[in-house]
Formats: sequence, C-alpha cells, structure tokens
Amino acid sequence: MGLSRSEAVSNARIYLERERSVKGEACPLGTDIFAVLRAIAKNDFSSALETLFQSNPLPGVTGRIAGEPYLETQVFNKKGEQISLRAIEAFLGDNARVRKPLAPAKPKQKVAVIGSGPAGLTAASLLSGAGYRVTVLESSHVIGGTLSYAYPEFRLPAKVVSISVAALRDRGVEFVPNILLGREVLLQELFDQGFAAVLLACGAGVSKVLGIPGEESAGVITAEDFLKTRHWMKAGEDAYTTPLNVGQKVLIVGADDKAFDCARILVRLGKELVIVVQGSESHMGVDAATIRETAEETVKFRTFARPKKILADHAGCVKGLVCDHLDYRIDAQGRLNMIVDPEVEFTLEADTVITSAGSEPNTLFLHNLPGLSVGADKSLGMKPGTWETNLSGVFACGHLVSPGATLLEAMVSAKRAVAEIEKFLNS
Amino acid sequence: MFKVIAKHTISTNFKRIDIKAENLAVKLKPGQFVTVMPDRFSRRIPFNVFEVDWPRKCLSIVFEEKDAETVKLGAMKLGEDVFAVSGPYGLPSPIEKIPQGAVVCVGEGLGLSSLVPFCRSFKQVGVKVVGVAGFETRKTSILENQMRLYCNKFYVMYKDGMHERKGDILEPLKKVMAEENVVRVYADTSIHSLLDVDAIAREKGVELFVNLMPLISDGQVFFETSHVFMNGQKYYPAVDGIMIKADKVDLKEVVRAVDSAKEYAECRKKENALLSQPNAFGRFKKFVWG
Repeated sequence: MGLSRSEAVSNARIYLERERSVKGEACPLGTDIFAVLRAIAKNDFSSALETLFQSNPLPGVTGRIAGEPYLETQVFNKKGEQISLRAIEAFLGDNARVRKPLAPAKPKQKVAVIGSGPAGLTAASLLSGAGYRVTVLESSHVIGGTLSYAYPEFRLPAKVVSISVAALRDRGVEFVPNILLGREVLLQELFDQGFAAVLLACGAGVSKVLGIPGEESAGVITAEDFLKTRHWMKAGEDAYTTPLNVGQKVLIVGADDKAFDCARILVRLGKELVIVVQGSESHMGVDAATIRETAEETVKFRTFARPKKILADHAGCVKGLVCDHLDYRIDAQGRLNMIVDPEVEFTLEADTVITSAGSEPNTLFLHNLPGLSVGADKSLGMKPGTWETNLSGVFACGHLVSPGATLLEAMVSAKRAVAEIEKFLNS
Repeated sequence: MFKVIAKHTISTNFKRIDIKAENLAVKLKPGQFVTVMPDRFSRRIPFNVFEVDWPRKCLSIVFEEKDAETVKLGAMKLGEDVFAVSGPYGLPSPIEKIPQGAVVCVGEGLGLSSLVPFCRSFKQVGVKVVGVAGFETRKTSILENQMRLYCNKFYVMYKDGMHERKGDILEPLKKVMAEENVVRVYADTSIHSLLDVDAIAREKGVELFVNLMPLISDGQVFFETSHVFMNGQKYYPAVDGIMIKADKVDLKEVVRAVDSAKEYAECRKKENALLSQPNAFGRFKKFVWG
C-alpha cells in the first residue's frame, strides 16, 4: 500500500532540500509538517509518528481522502514523480504501530466517547495521549463509523482503518461495539460507572430524502444504506450471503462523494449507471479529478435535471425517474437564476434509484436521554460558543454538530472539544 | 459475549435459541425488538423476543430457517458466540391495569413471539387475556404452551384442520369480540390478515396495535438509521418501533410496501441468477477446457 520506507525517506529528504516551508495554508489540524519530514529524513519513524499523532491520529485516512491541494507539491524526485506529502502522511499511517509505547503516566479520569468515526477516533487519541482512560462506545459492529463504509476499498482500504484503530488500542483506548446509547445504556449510567465526561461523536449518518412522489417505491435506496450493505455485509460477493438487490439499470440522484463512490462500485459490478445532477459539472460536490475518473469508468451524467417523480410499476417497484429540465440564466443584477422548463420533462428508465441527498445529525436515539436538548431539526442544544451540550459534562463534536463539515473540519472540532473537556475536568 | 446457552427444535423448520446478553436482556420491554447477526458479514436480522430470563440475563427468540442467515443461526452450537445482538429497538408499549376489560392477543405463526410478552405482562397486572393463534399445520405450531400459560382463554386454529380446528384466526376472533368486553387488541399476523383483523376491530370500536415487523425483515437489510415511508413521512422503525396503533397508519399502504419489497427482491434474485449463468461461449469453453 503506498510508498515504501526508502521512498518515504528519499522523498522527505529531497523535499527538505528544495523547500524551506510548505507552500499553501497551514495544516488545519495544526500538524508541524516540517518536524515530521525532518524525523522521516533521519529514519526516525517513531518520532515522526509521535509528532504527527499529537495533532492527527488518522494519517492513513487523511493521507488518502482529505483533499488539501497544497500537499501535492511542485517538487519532483529522482524518478521524475511529483512528491506528494499526502502519500508520506499515508505511509506513516500505514506504519502507525511502530511507535514506542508511551511511558505509563498517572491515569486520569475516565472519559466515554460515543461514536468511533473520524471525530470520535481523533478525540479518543488526543484524550488518551493526555492520560485519560478512554472508552469508545460504537452502536454498530464495526469500528470506524463512516470510515468503515463510506469509502470504497480502492480509495480507503479497510486495513488502513484497522491499523489506526489498533494503534489506538495499543495506547489503551477501549472499544465497545454493538452498544446503543439511549437504549442499552443511558447517560446517567455512564456517569454512575465512573465516567467523568461524555463526548457525543455520533456523526451524521441519517440520510435525507429527496421529498418527491414515488420515493416509497421498492428499489429506492439511500446511498448510505447501499454503502453499508456493500462494505459491512459484502453484499453481491459470491462468498457472502447478503444479496446486493440492485438492478441492472441504476440511477444515482445526487453528486456528492457518496454518490460517486456508489457509482464507481456499481460500474465495477457491471451495472449501467447514470448520475442525475441538478446543475452542471461545476455544481457537483466533488473535485474535478473524481468527476474525470468516474466518467472514464463509463458512468454517464445527466446534468441540468431536477428529479420530479419516481415511477413504479403495478407491483410498486421502481421503473423510472421523471425529471424537469433545468436551465440557468443570469438576470439584470448579474445573479444566476435557476429556471425550470415545464414543457421539457423527460423520463429516465431504471430498475433501482439510489438517492444521495445529504445527511442529518444522528440524534435519533439521543431523544430518549433525559435532560438532553434535541431540537425538532435534529440538532443538539449546545451552550453558545462552546462544544458542551446543555448537560454538564456532556460534550459533542464532529458531524453530529456540523453535518456539512469535511473530514478535516470534523477532526478539528474534535480537537477543540477535547480542549474544553480537559478544561472541564481540571476545573 | 453473546453465548448460545440453549437451543431447541420446536417444530418443523422452527428453532428456539437462548442467547446471553447481559446488558440488553434486562432492558427489553414488550413491544421492543432486537437484531441478531450470526456472523461478521451477515445482515442484522430483526427478531421479537418472546422471553427474557432475568437471573441468567438471556433472551429467547424463535425463528424459521428460511434463508442463509437463519440457517446459519440454526446451525450454531451450544456455547458458541453469536457475532452480535443489538438493541433494544422500538418503543415499549404501555402495559396498564385495565379494569373490567379484556385484552386480546391474536397472532399467526412467528407472530406469537411478539405477543407472548404482552400476554405475560397483562396477566401479571391482573388483566384478562384472551389469545387467538393460527398455524398452517400442527407440526408448525410454536409457543402454544406459553400462550396457554399466560392466557385466561386460548383459541388455536390449524389451516390443515387438525384436532377439528380447521380454519384461520378470524372466526375465533369474531367470537371473542362478540362474547368478551374487549378493550384492546394486539395483532401480529401475516401482513394480509392484518387488514381483516383491522376491519373486525374497527367494527367494534376497539383499539388495535399491529406489529409491522415485515416492513423491516422481508426482503430488506435493516440498519438502525434506515427509514420507511408511512403516511408520506419518514419513519424510523428502530427508534419509533414496529408495534404501532393501527389508526396511525395506512395498513393498505403497509401491505403494498411489503409486497413490493418482496417482489423487488425476487426480481433481483432471478436477474442475478440469469446473469451468473455463462453465455454460449462460456459454456463451450467450460466443455472443452473444463
């Protein structure tokens, strides 16, 4: 997977010789990239990992899927290949268990982290690094949250997530899967068990719907459910029992990362795909490279199409999608207006429709927690300007608080929440 | 962690297993359900739990071996660990003392597993409980002993007419509704029978609760964040439950949704079977080179 040791060392040395600083924005996580590169150049991977882990406990993940353009440098190695700091970051993540074990410190209080996605893992790493005894409770059977299902194997291998989790276990973080906060265990029970603080990092795994007629038809599935079925249950693979339940002609409505990941998985399974987008390619929520790679894999796009209605046959199974044709005009004030042409309506045939309309915070089971304020719009009631909920000692971060955040933004919010937790526990 | 501590074959293709689930078992209430994963890559199968053994902290489920996952579950040995048991999902149903009234629990086949907890709980608070059960044959009947134990009166019907009780659940249900002062009905029957049960309950103006497990189990892969559509709105079975008051839901819509899901799954199965067959050249290649 990725760079070898010698390549990582060589690339780090060449970069340090040519550049005095990393061009572009500083790392949002606060990583001292130069210190990491200097350690790698000296073959001291343990120190490099220690430095990196102070700010980023998931380098194997961020090195593969976080989209910071400045990590692609303009420096070339001896083979003429562009040096990628992201690749070096991924290399460190893949070897995350090389670090020397920490000297045992006087253990501090117990903290529970609810959710094992990127924000939860970041918080668990930072808290355990600060000496707290951390237990991560995860409702599903797989540790990793969205990292375990939202990215196809060719973008984020499952092994990378396992290595990151194993590295955290080496640090003393305890993981408890299959446990549901709000049902099997309540907040007060956690405090009764001796946890001094609880951090909610449940993510935003609740899919939004398109809100069009016919969405209740059989054969309409969300991108979230499709990815979970594919990754967790290996649906469609011969050696496993869960059927894929996707027809030959598939329409994917939406143009975010999940939609594209579904498309690239399905095209490899031989399905005929069309991605339906409301705007043009520039309105898609992914970078140009992803659009290009997806198009190269014979996925078609239907742009300027707004889904209007899902058609079903007599048995109630999907048979097509009716769309309005959209157009964009610039008005006298220079604003871009979307115009629906009611006379130009068209139908796309489909056996299956996968919807990727965005996601909402996963507060479904938090409504039952006595005293915790959860709004009708599924948002948590937070104390203004803080990462603390309305309950003392209960904090929240990541996509649970900001569902539209990027991976890095979720990890940064976890970092900030951890700082507040430390202040709370030390007060 | 989720050890199989008992296992019985209770009738043709139906098995009972008792699984140790320390935290979960003591939190389960009537109306709630759990999911079981036999192994790491199987889907989460939703189950109603018909019995909880508090001292041993184990829950008991009954299932029919009708697909790969349930066969896998049925093949588990004593002492082996089931990969995961999660829950409790859904909302607990209210169990209150109903003065001068009877509660009827009517079910078919596996539906009895959701009704036994209601029969037991209502009997414990002193409410008269009448049970009505229907099975295809005597050999496929399940949980009769539990129903007899917890019901003040119990009617059982077999479609093959064994023991002179030929027929379905509707005749005894009508008889009970006519003779008893029925205040509430809990129904867990086949999805099509629910419409008939609803009509009988409506005629008498009696409150009816229906179990909509087929919405999440037949032809579906269940996740706790999955939704279905009810009355045009998103509904989360894992959160809001599957034992629902019948007047809050359009049962015809539910029946249509369940039938469509089954039809869709069948179509995909046939399509995949057809696509996995080799074409003419593939068959020739296999014939020549093996």
